[in-house]
Amino acid sequence: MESMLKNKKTILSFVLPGLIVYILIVIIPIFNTIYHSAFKWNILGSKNFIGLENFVNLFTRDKIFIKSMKNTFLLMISSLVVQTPLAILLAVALSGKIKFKRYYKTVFFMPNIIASVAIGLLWTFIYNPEFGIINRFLEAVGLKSLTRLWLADVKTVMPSIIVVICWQFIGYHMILYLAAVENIPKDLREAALIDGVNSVKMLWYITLPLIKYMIGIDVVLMATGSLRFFDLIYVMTNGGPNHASEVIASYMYYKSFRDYQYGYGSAVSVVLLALCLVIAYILQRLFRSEKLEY
Amino acid sequence: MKKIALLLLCACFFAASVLAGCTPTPGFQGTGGTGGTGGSEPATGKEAVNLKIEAWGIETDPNSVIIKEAVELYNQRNDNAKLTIEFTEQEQYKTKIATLMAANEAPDLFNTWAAGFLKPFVTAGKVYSISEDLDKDPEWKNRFVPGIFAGFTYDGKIYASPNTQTVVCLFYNKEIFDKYNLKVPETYEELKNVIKVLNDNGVIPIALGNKAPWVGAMLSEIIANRIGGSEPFNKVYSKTGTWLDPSFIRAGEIMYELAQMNAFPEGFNALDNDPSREMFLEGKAAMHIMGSWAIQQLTYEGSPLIGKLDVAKFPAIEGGKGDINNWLGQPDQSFAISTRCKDKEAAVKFLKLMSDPEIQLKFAEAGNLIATTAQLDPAKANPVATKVAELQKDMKELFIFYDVALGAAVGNEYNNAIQAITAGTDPEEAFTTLQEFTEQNLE
Repeated sequence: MESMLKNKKTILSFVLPGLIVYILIVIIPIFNTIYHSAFKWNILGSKNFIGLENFVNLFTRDKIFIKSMKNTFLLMISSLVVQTPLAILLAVALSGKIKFKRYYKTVFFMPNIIASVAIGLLWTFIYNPEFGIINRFLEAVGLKSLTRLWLADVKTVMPSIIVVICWQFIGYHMILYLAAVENIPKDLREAALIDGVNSVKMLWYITLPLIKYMIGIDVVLMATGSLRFFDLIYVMTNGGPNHASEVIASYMYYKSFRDYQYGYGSAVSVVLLALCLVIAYILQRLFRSEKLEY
Repeated sequence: MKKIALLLLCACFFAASVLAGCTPTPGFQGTGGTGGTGGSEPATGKEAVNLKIEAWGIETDPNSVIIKEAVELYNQRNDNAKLTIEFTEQEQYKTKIATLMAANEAPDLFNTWAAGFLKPFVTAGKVYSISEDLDKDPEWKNRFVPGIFAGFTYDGKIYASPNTQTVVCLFYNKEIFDKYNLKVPETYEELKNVIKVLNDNGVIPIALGNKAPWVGAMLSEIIANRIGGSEPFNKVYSKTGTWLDPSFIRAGEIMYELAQMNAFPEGFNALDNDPSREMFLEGKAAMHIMGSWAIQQLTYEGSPLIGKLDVAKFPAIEGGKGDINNWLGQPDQSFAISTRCKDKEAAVKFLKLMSDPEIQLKFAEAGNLIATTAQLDPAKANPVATKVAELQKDMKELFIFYDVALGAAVGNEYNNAIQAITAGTDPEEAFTTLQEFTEQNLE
């Protein structure tokens, strides 16, 4: 067995089928998209080569694209700022000795196993200005002045969506951190306890440094995930009202499949690809940590 | 670490499967049509040609049922061609047909809208012109209402044949109007007065659900036309004028004014069109401004509005140039033949059947305004549709929906701009942005 796995041909025969599929449906379309981004093309007529004009237009003239960039970054940063600390705190709390541990784990992880479309619909009802639970609650407790149109108001739509996204994904990140926290050897904690460390110091000096590698992985996952975020926005607002909740991925869809500006849509997706790569690289550099040996 | 690697791998596969779902699958759609081996030969042989029709709508819609009946009738009467039809929900249909066209898998016949929707397909040479067939058969051509082909004419050639017409009407609930002693408004000032009285009595004045922004955009288009006539828009269309024309800006101001005086339901920008229609149906709202397709949805058997529903022309606006007899609308339920069609003669025959009085009268009975001059037995006609037809007798001009005329890109942005204005954006600012967008994107 060992020797068989060392044989290069054997390795190749195992890897090849998957690799071919991967190249056909991921790698080639990526290059195809980069190629199309240099054309003015409505999928139907002839392709006109315009070089980098699509990109120039994107950054200099297209206010909606700039808006969608801002929203994407807002989404990414708020995900990082809100979800990372909360997920770590939940993980630390759940790793301790508490009652109903499994129950809490399941509850926090639950939103992650519901389909995004269902979540989108669910929260669309919650935010509904007429019969949604939020506005009804505010009215019931005499805070009618705080009721909003939520998803239909330019000012509240992004925060409203961000709340849903955090709710959906926090359990997932919590599970990642929980695994890391539970990997920390017991003796380290015990030694610290004997030294009289309180729980805040324990978190800061023991737990956090030892799960730093996981924070690095998770931040990259979270950042790239929120950069190409699409489904909830498509279901809840379709980028509206008046593009106020447009993100790069939804704008790409809008341009390609609603406006039939396929070349332009390709340019948007190339920018998205570049952003994902650059940001993933930067974050990985930031969180580079030495290997842990216990 | 291994877990993470596995996770990432799963994510890759997931992403890959999503991407694969997006790419058109060549050959798949075509198999239905090319099933007959004699496909490419004209219909002289013994074997029947299979023709595929793509249509928008839901199969159980009254109009879809009529179209399906027409297809069955056609199949009974013709041995040399067999039609099959497939329905797709309206928004998805737009994407589907564009994808099919792009993949060179266009169906033999397809449902189309006028002007900006059909234009890219015509320019790309995907659509067969029926001009010659119309000229060859004057009886067919003369069935149609005059001027109806304007939206399907590109470079002097006609590319599709419509079966119904849609116009935007002011529907109102007679019972509510009588209860508060209100008269149908004929001017904007009177309309504002009606709105005030209704609001004072706790009735929603106009049921308008503007979540999908085309709904409010329709209203703004009528208002703009009442103020400035059709010229400002025609100038935008031909790129000789801009959205900064005072009539558009004033129309924007009026939209905002209406929103501010609570003419629309609370939170109307978050309200879908269907629930807004429910408000009108249930008598919670007194007026509804909607295309004539709503007649079917408002006068179905058992509808609470039967006997109470009436319809009027949208009021004039003081000092405006536009005639009260200009109607916003479009030719509708139109079909075009693709250049890929295997048997154009058989396809044209289907278009002729659709515009034949026997099918046209079914459309009329279902509450449509028809595209031909077929005469309907007054007893069978839908009274509201008859009233619309009567009002339309003085029609000066049918101006087409902006988002249809301008095509998807600019049309959607216009709708968005109006929605933004009703939510508080300054009209001048909104139209300046729209103008910039139009200059970049109008073909």
